[in-house]
Amino acid sequence: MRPPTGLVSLWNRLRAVARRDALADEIAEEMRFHREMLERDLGAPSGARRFGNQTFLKEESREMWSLGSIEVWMQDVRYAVRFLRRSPVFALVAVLSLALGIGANTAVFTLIDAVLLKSLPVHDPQSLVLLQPVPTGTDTFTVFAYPYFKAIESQNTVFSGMFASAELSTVTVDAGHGTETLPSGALLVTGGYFPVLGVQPALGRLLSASDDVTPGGHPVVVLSYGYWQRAFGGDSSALGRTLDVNGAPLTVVGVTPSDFFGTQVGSSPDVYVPIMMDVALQHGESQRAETGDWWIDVMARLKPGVTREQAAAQLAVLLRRGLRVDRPSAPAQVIEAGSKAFIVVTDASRGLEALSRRFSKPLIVLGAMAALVLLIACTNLASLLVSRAAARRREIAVRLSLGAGRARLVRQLLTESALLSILGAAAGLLVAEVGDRALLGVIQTGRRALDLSLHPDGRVLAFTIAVSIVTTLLFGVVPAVTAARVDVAPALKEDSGGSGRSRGSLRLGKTLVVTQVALSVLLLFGATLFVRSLRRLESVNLGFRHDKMLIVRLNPRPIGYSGPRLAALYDQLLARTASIPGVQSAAFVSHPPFGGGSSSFNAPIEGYRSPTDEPPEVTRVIVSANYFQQLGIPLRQGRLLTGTDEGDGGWPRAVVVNETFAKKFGGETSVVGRHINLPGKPIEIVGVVGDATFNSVRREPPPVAYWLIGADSMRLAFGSLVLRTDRPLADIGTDIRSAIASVDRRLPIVAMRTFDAQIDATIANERAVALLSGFFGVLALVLAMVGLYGIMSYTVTRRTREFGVRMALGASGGHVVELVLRETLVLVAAGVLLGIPAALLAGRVGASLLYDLSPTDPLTLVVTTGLLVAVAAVAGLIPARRAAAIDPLLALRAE
Amino acid sequence: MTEPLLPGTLEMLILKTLTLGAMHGYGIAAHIQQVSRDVLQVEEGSLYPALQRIRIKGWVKAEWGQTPNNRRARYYTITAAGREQLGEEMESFGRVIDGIHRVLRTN
Repeated sequence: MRPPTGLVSLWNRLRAVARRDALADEIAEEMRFHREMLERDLGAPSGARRFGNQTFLKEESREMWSLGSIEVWMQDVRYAVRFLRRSPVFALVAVLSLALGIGANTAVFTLIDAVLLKSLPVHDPQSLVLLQPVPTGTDTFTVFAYPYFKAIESQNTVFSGMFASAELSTVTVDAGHGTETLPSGALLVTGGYFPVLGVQPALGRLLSASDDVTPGGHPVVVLSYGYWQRAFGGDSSALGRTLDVNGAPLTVVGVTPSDFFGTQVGSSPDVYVPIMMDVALQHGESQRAETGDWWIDVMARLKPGVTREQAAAQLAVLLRRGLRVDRPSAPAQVIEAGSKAFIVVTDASRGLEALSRRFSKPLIVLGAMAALVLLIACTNLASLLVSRAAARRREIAVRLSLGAGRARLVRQLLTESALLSILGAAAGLLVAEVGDRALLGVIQTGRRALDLSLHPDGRVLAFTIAVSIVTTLLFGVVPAVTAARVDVAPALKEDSGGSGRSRGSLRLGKTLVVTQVALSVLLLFGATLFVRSLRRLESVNLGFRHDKMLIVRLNPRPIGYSGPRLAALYDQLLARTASIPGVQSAAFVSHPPFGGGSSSFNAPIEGYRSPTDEPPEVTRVIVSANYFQQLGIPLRQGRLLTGTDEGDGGWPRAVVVNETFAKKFGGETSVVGRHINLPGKPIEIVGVVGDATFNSVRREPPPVAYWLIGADSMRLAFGSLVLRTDRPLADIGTDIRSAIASVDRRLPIVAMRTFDAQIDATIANERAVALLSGFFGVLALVLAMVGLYGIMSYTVTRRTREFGVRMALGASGGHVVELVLRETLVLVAAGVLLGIPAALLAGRVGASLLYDLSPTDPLTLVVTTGLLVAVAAVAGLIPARRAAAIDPLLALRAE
Repeated sequence: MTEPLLPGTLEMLILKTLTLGAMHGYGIAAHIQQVSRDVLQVEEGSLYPALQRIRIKGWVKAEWGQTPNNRRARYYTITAAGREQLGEEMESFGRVIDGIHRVLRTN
């Protein structure tokens, strides 16, 4: 079977490409030979006559060898390159603005893809689901209790596999070079975790059902790829080594693959430990036994052909019939048939979705802004191209008169735009790389760094290409079509300064610039709103001093501290750190403001009737006696706490409350002297202090009761030292570490940072949005300026004669400048009038991201308009001055 | 007298001519004219384009050589693919001729 003729032809044509010229010569020689033979046989005249038109024959033969449309296209590209080389400044400006526009969009899209769109890098993520219990029929929990998980696992028929996991955020590891705190923590997993996800190990083996049998009987650990690289340099000798994890010796049995990051986007655990080892790692009671402890995330894989609805239905049936729950240390429990409990089954192809919930709104806003920037860049380019096309009218007319088809011309002009887009996209990918790294640096979750790896992958490239194509069409089509519509005869006759047909392209150019200004208004308005909102957030009065303060967060529970030993430990720590040179005072607090945690209890309060008959909820914060003084929280009524207010048996004798508490539960009279009536233990309220913002500026502080550390030692897990010092953190850090180590060498320091940094971290979102929109806003301004300059410059050139006449008739230079500037301002005014209604509409969408600022804020409108007017003045000044400098005689003579 | 020839038929005739041996363009035209008793006179304007076409399609090869008079000329040789193509074309041509005959013979 011979190959198809079409392929053979293509192949022969391709082979001949390099020999094109030689080929033409050969054909000519061949024909000469043929002609000579004819003349020899038939006589000269008839020979020549019979031979026919040589040139035509040569051309036709040559045509046959051409690759047809590919050749034409290659020629277009060559013309395009020549055009760009002739005007390098224009090319540079064009490619640069495209690179910024396309790059910004690619960067934001990569982030959106990673956070909101990409599925987990596991086998068949689409069939993964998340189970969320609704135990009382009203509130959805996100976490399960372990015995219920086991019961469902053994009694369901809709899942091919299930697994559970729980994060341990404070983990210390000793790999033989000293203890370090794992930055990304550990994940406790059941036996089904890796098998159900379908992950293959990069080294060794991963955890399986055989590691999930005996409590405390599986001292093994799997490393994440990143941690393996960091701690062992990627050396396979890591297998079999012993790691001391929270004091428990575990053997390394394997490493996860490099693209696996667990089941939660944005947080990638450093190590994976069997859940049966939970006691060894947490030094407390095992939470696995309790049906009242809700602490694990449960996911499952649907059997083929089973839908999420079917699964939820079957689980509901299971619950209704009564689920048998085995408890290790108690008789089996049966959830009553007909209970209100049910289980929600949701899609988990992207894993647990905490991150996307938090970031989806800001990311979408950023995406919209990036798209706007690209639109502005395209409009800019389109108007520039229109002006240039008008200047090339003569060249185009010549080509049309020589027989080029208009379609061919449009295609060639589009090739120029396409070339610009390709160059812009290539540069844009570089911009996106840099941009993504900067983006990650700006966005943090506050407590832990974001574990996201943003690599350009197939989807990103496809997106970039799509954006480039759209861009080309947007800014290339209209100028190309307009340019090719040139009337040949008049264009050939006139010179470059003439009028006539060019009026159409001038109008088009002006429309484009007005559109550009309108889009810029939109962008600038949004950017100004975000920046002002950020300023307001930053300057809110928080109710306490936070400058020159360091917070050191500790967690002594894993190394065995509890009870009175805990109180004694903190006393020692306070004394030791207070004596570090440079530290003015040291205080303790269980939940520092903006620390993100909280703890509460319910108890009836004397003199307060709760509207729901439930005892009201009170937030509790445990402090050292000097805490209020240290943070500058004022005392409003009564007195502060002293040593005698400590109680015994876990509850204090007396507490101090904040103003919100006093207002809410006090009513008309003061709360001082009243009691919180815990059953059998009335606690006296001895004072009221000022409100301190608790965890978020946007929310009211809750009612808080403060009591001293000595009284509540048993319930403390985390605690923070608050140190007042002038010394910077980098300087004093080691001193603090050695002071703490001198009290107990094993004590893990969860975090150490300045109070200001901690507060900043909570407004990271707003800061990121303000920063980026500000950057985009400046970009839009620059582009608007360039666009305005371009169109005004072209206008002046076109109307050189008119200005010359005016000045010859007595108009002053200043008058001409005024004329030009006035025209510029008219363009801007039109754009602003178009843009402001759009901006007000769009503002409604982003309103929830603003703090204390209305989306129709008038000052912002004024600022935006003012900025654009200023830009217009600057942009129009140079052409205006050029107009004023026209020599009337020269202008009049140029016909 | 010259009769018009369809391009497809011309290629078939060229291929058939070349089964007799390698020939240059003039030789091919002369052969066809001679054997057809001057009925088929191939115009140069048709011959060389046809030769380029079948060369591109890989049915003939072209090489420079020497005529008996020591003149430089380009000689064409039929390839295996060309022979196959010739066989197919002759078959279908034959079928067409039969069909035309049958129509003309009906009374």
